Amino acid sequence: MNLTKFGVMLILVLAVSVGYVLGIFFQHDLMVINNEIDVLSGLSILSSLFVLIYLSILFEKAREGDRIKKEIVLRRCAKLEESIDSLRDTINRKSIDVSELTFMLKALSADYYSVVDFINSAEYSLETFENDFIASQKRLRAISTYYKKSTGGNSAISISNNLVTYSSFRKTKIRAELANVEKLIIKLELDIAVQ
Amino acid sequence: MDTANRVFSIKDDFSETPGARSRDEGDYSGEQLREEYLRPLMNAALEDKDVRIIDLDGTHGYLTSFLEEAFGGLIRVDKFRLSDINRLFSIKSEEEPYLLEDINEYLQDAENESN
Repeated sequence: MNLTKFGVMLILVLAVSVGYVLGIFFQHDLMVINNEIDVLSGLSILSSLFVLIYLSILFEKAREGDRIKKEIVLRRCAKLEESIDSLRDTINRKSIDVSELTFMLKALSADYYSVVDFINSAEYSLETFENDFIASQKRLRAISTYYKKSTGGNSAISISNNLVTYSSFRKTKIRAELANVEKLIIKLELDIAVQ
Repeated sequence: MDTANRVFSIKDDFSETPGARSRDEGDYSGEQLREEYLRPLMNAALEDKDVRIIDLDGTHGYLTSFLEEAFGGLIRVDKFRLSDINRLFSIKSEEEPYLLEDINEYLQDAENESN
């Protein structure tokens, strides 16, 4: 038995039980129990049943829609986390090819926006989420790929033959930003869970 | 390169794998893009007063320093005016629309520096 049918049955049983108990304990002119049902009462019962069933189906559909939306957000967050792990592994290397790094950051940015765009289209009300995510994406791209023209090989990022080498300070900054994104993802997942 | 072409695709006309900032850092640098392609395109656009579309899509992606050198350098090094660049270059990116905001910042910063 699925949840919809169970919900309808439960509501019906409760409604009949409550009606029966009220009928017994509150004998009143407006509430008379007899064994005959006229046309008007019959129609009234049928329309009440129809409304009950219709509402419970609507309610269940909305719940199902919410569940699917949450699942999509979680899946997109998981993909973003994979890209973050991949970038973290990559920056630990001694040097990285420029095209490998740019390709990875392009994919990572797509993952960021995949989460942001879906949250916006799903109309979740999350106050600072979009600004926080986009600012983080921008910061990460900047600290991973922005450097002034190199002077004497002391740059935070030095490049030779299109091979990127990060200073340890720059690596620390990138790792800190990756940790920050992970915190944002966890916060997002918690916020979504309670909505 | 035919500077009369209205559309310049970085992927097709320059490289699918753009490199670093300066020529001495490797092939397909931002400096190379600016000197060999963007500068002649800008000069041609100023001459025939027609807009050139710069298409950023289809590459492996960009270092932010590559973009700063290629576009910011048009003002900082080549002394073009921001108003001319905005008027004659239409920069397009459907894959990474945030790059347009970055490039605008680089252009604005270079303009502020030069004033």
